[in-house]
Amino acid sequence: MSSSSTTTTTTRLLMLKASDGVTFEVEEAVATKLGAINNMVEEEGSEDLICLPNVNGKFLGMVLEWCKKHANNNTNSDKGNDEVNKWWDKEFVMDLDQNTLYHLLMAADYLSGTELVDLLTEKVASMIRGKKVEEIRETFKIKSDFLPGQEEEIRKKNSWAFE
Amino acid sequence: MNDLLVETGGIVSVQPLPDVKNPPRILSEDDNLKLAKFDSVPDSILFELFLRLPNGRSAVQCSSVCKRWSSIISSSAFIRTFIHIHDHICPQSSRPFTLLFARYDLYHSDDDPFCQVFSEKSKFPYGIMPSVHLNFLPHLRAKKKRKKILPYRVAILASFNDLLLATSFEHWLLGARNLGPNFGAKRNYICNPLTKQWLELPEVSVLYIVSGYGLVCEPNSCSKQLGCTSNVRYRVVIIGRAHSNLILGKTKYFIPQCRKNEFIAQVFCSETGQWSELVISYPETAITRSWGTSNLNGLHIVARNGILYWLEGDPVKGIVAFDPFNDVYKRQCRLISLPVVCFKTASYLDDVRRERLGLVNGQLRLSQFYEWSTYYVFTVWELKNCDSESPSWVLVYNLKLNYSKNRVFMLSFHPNNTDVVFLLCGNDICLYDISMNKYEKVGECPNGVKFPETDISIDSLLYPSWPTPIPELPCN
Repeated sequence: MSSSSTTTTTTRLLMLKASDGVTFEVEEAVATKLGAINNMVEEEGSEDLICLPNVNGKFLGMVLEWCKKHANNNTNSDKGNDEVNKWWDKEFVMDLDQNTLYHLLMAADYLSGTELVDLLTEKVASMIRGKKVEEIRETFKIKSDFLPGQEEEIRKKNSWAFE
Repeated sequence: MNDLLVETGGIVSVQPLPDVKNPPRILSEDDNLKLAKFDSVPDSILFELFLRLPNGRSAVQCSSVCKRWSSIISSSAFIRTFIHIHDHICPQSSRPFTLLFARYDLYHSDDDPFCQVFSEKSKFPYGIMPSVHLNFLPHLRAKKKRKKILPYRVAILASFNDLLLATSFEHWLLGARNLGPNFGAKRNYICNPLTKQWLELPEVSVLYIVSGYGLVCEPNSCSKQLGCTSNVRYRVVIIGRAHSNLILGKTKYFIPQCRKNEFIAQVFCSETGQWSELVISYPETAITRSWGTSNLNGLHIVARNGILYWLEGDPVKGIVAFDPFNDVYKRQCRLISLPVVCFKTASYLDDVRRERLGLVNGQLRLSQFYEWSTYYVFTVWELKNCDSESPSWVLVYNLKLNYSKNRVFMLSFHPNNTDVVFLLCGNDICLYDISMNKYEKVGECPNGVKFPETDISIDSLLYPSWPTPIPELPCN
């Protein structure tokens, strides 16, 4: 990857600052994997410091780590890249605890990292699949807020899905 | 430049904080845990998330988790997008299906008229074993009459995707053998056997001669923005050849019927909620020896892309293509001529109904199956450009099958495998793989079948990614 970047265009560095003040210095090509940052760079051009008050440094770091991998892999133009990315994505989400997953998802959504959002929603969906309603509530710490009888009504109306 | 920072929705702070290395306000793990509630995930993400569930059943289950999940999953926008995405991931060729083999000759007996139900085990719809008991329909409970319990019977008249058109009738109505359920189907229902939703259609005055029934929904319109809108409008069609208000002459042999290039269509329109009775004609062909519209019971009507197709004439002289959405205004429909290549023109002496019409992967196919000295001839054609003015037949198979002592009868095409058909060999229902020349027994017809061409009716249920809801009747 280094050989291809020896052209005259020097890699521009962006400063990204998280809600807790943690600042990251990243290559533009990496940061622009995130739609929100890409828009800012395209619209505003010269600004080098971008404050991201809705993202905590810990999770911004992880998001950027993901971007970096994908940006690097994408500069290599052989077909094996998709496979590499897939493998790496799998590793990336494999051991995420639910808390991290949630915050990453919020961060990725806020930064419009569409691909990352896809990856993370897929991970969450895999946690829902094959689970019963009670287990889903437990997994995601969701309290049923139905009025008495409402849940039974849904089950009755869709009894085919609960048999 | 400060605008930029304001736009991102945060604190304007151009200079980096001095204590970057040791940030003072990192949330503690406890705080994080408190925050980690999926309640606060935006709707748009939940929407994306639910789209990734494997099937409609799983999504419906999730709708009972909490109010918010329920409101997203039950929204029509979600269902449309779900269908759109899943139907594209899962092409028609891998959709689960169920074939229903009903026995007309058993309707008058106490045996179960649904003699066979066939589904591919690996492809149960929504991961559950489909059931086709229609006992959720009303009026089907046993009724005592003269101290005898006379159960109501239900008969399937037509199918479309996962919907069935069914009728109920009293047991004693079927005293005569071979009358079949086509006789006097007044009380008709559209139902989804999976969700057990049903709708009773307004009573219809029965045609004097009924030939067949069709159910057809408007073709899906599919767009990226709106997703798939499915089955908004539908038509129930009864095809016959003598009016319902026919006054019979005293002479037994005189039954005024349609002219030879006409048929009667009773069409139920979902938008008006009413039946109408029309005479439809098709272009008269040069065939002189025509018997007019088939007067056989149980005309097998195939619905494709909003149009109904059936084999016309006895012996067959063409395929009628009737569009119940549009042809009712013109009072005219199309007649598609039969294939020329390899088609054996029938004579009156031949067995009737050696031809079969069906859908394979959404394409119209015609088969011919007959005995020829020491073997069977089995020929299959596919109709190309069937929506156009000039459709054309393509010969797909022309085979000689070894003669066996058991009578062989073509039952049905496989809904989504071009190489496989269902045959009746003796009393066995077999899957026949044409390319491998292999038979596999998948079922059996109890009590034997004497007249497979009239005694067995075959309907197929093809399950979309989300069960089709039963639309309500318009309020009058």
